[in-house]
Amino acid sequence: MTEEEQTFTCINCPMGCTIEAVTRDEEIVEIEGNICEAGEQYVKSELKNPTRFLTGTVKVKNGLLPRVPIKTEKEIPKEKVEEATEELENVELEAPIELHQTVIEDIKGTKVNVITTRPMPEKE
Amino acid sequence: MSGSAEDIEEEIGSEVPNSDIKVRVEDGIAYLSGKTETWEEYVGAGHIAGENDDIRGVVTDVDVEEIEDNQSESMERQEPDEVIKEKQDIVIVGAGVSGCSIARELSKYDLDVTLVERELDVSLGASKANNGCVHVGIDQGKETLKHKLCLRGNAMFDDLTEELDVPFRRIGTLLTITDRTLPEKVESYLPSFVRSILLKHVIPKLVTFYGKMKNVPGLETLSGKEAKELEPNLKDDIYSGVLMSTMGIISPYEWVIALAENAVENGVELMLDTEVIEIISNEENEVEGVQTDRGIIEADYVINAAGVYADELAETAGAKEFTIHPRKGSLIIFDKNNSDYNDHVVSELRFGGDEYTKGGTAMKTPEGNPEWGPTAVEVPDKEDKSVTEEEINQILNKYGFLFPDFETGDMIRYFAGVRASTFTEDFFIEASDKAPGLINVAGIQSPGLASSPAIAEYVVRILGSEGLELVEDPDFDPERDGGPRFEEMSEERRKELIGEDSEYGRIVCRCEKVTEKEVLEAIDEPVPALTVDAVKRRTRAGMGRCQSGFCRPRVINILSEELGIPIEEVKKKKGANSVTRRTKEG
Amino acid sequence: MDVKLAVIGAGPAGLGAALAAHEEGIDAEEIHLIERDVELGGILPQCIHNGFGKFNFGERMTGPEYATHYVEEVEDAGINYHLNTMALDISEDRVITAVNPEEGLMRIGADAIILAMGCRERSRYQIRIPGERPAGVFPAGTVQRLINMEGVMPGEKAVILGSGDVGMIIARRLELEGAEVEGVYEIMSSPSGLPRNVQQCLRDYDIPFHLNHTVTEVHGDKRLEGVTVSEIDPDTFEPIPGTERYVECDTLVLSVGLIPENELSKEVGISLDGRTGGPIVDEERETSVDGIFGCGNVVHVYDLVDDVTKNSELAGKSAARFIQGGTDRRVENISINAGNNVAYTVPQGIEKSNEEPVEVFFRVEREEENVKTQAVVSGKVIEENAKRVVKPPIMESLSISRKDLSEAEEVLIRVFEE
Repeated sequence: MTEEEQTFTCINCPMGCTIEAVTRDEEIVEIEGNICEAGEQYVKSELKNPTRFLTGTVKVKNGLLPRVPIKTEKEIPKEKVEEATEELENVELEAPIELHQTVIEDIKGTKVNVITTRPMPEKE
Repeated sequence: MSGSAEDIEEEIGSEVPNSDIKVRVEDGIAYLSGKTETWEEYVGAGHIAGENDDIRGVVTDVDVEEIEDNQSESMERQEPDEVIKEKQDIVIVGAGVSGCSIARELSKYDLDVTLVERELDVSLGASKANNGCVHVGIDQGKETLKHKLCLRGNAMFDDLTEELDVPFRRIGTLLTITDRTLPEKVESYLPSFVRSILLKHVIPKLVTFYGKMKNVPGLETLSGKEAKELEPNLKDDIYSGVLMSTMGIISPYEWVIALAENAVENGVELMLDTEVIEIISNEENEVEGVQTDRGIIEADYVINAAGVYADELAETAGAKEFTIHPRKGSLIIFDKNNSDYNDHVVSELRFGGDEYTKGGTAMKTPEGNPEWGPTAVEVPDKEDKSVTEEEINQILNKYGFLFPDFETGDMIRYFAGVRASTFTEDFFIEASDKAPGLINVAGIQSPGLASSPAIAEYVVRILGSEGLELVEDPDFDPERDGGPRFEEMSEERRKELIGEDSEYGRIVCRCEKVTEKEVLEAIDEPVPALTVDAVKRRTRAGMGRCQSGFCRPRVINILSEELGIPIEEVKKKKGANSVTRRTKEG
Repeated sequence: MDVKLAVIGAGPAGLGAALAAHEEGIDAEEIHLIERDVELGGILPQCIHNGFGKFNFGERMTGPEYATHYVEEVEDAGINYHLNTMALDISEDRVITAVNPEEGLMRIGADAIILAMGCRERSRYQIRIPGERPAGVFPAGTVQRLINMEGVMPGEKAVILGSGDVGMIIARRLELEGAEVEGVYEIMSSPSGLPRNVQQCLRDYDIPFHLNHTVTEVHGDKRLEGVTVSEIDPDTFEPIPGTERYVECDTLVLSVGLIPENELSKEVGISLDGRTGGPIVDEERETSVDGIFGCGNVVHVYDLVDDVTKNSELAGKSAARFIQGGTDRRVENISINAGNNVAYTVPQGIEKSNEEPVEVFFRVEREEENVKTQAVVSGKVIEENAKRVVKPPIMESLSISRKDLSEAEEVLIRVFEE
């Protein structure tokens, strides 16, 4: 039942608003500092279930380059980022690879897919 | 002062406070023992002994209180028993400018010669870290070996650089006489008209006269106005100058690489990554070869060209007749944008300054980068190549005084090397009486580069008088091809080469316009580039304004492919890989 | 060969400019992109993090996705491109000398040229860190390329100097790859990159962040062994004696500034702005040499690729118009000057007479809260924006309408505090 004052830096856009919120039991009581709605959404999500995008690369066989970059299609729970990264260590894709090709479905039970973020042609 | 032990001891006692030094003189070598408080005092004591005309070498065994450990760390090193090379005529220890010059000279004869170097490339000591001035041979004080060899060596550079295909330019040096030329103490006594006459007329003429007495050719006295016409960017109030036209500029490591390559092409065996631990001798202390970390090399003669470690190597043969006191020199390199800033090497005459260095210069490299320095800092550590902030400021102030409008913000790199200085501050090149078969080629500091061809001839003469049979090899080929330099080529030549070989069409280093082909050639040469830094020294990839920001990953990839090793094993230099491992997902 | 439009650099700036020129009516066959890398995209393929295209695409794309979008458009349009091609020289009459393995040495004469060469990173030597020169000292962009494209690590324990966006993003990447980042050290009193990166790269990973600090010495002969860090006096930037601390590390990552890469511009004699390091351009992004335009990081360093794209589209359109006959020039140029708390503006002048509004981009010199950014002509405020906060890492802009400029000789851009 206690009220807490917390400070957040919103990561939604380059403004990076410093948001001060008074919270009670993970609910926002007061909020100021955000210049748009997204800021409030961000704080809500940080309180209940902080999420982050995961980006990285996976190994490529026979491609123009040895790695291809990937991302999670949506944000995933922040605490799953480390184990998700570890799962990617075992992946090797063979060129040619398409843009937004699915790399791993439902990574670590998040219901979010990992996809490539560029095409990768075969090595000449 | 005579060269007697008592006199030297007395002078040290009075000039170096807080010291307790005993001196013994034997056969022209002064042996100092005892202690001093500071390193500066230690060097001062050594110099007092070394300045003496009767002394040809100074050996020290002195405790310096402020230095924790005077001994170089004894590392765990392998000393395999296996004889890896039998019955060489000569082993040369150290592939710096001396070792490689001697190797090339010896390759003219029918001899089995092995050149041994502990690093992964040649020229990695002071030989790569000097400014590349091929000095004219003007020297201070007493007659020295370095002066004789410098005069002779300097004159040999035109022919040799043409044979060996190394860019070399005699741009001359302008010694300026300025407000800082006279020591402050003297200035305060001089009436201004006397000062003016001294600075404008007397001093330049004295310098020219002195130079001529020392057989330096190509000297000319200039008025302040004439000096300023030659170098318009100089500050306004230059009093006078002396132009010395035999000064040349060269890339010092390119010179050494060229010598080594020609030597190898003419039959010298080069063993890199091989460290000589000690000289092996028989019961009469005659040299029989060297013990390296890969095994034993048998040889009749050993040339000790081991730079800062020459004293330690000589000691293993019981033939230590000199102690090296390291003296660091830092240099700053500026952007090529300023390559036309000065046409000559420019220096400043300063009486009462540091006696043991040339005072440094504002010069430029053959590729057009202005280069200022070096400093002269006595350091206890033979491996101390750090560039301090004080040194950077010292260099900027010293030459910024002469060139007040120079864009010092265009600095692209600074580095340091360590001089292998003896206390006599002269070369020590002698056949050792104590260890027959050992030729010491030590104390090669400036003008070592200019002297190098003459040092080589001198050493071969010594070998001859020590009994080595010198039969000329009729197959000796003096010519060496330095490989293409895309950046310097005309458009037609570039087109031609790209047509023959498409690897000339891919540029790897954008700052210096180095092509993939040049990098591949560097890895394939008689003295091959095995590391990122070795590629840099041969091709200039990484020497530009972005300091390998663009080319680093590309050079690493090429080395990986050409040497057949994974990327994480590519070295930047010995003991340091460029990258550490694959990423976790790799 | 002779072409209508040559674009040097095929990163987001070059790609956007080429497409915009095509849309403005230049045939795709007459447009040639010159790119030194093995593929199109510039620096974007190594920027695998998201944060791109927020404004242009309403979504948070990664660098490679942003690049792929434009690369596919260029390919669909049939615009020419030359890969592995280094431009060596430009002459005043707009002839580019370039070289690649397949086509050899080429001379490309163009009716108009767009410069889009981007920028390079400041080196350790340019900021004069004393000490030794061991292996293990890297600019942040090189580390990014090594990790994200080559799949190799620079080291295991890193110190990062500079809190530019690239530095912070690399800090996170190093941690994700199992290396330790001992800390990020920033010489200024506030971060030089975006606040969201301080959060999602440093705080999220518990990476210590030290403002008012710098590296004052590098230690190690072969491989980096450690660095000395010191606190600095914020007024003088001099290290405070007694605050030195030795930090053991095997990697020093430098994120200490980007420098627009204008060596080619200098060769052709284009006038450069000393404050930006890039060419002086007018509202159409034309440089001081007729028919040569500039866009993207080669003109000044942007934070957001969206702004790069916007500027490049303007340059592409302008170059197309130049090829088609050119815009009329004003009788008198109007200079755009930097006033209170403004470091520089792009463009630096207005030279053409047309009706389109001029968007002026600028950066402030220091952080201020509750201010107005203003454009002032003859003492009168013609445009202003109320801002809760302005800071150097975030680029600002003001749009000026032509009707306010009829009698003007100068536009002053400033930050105004009430």
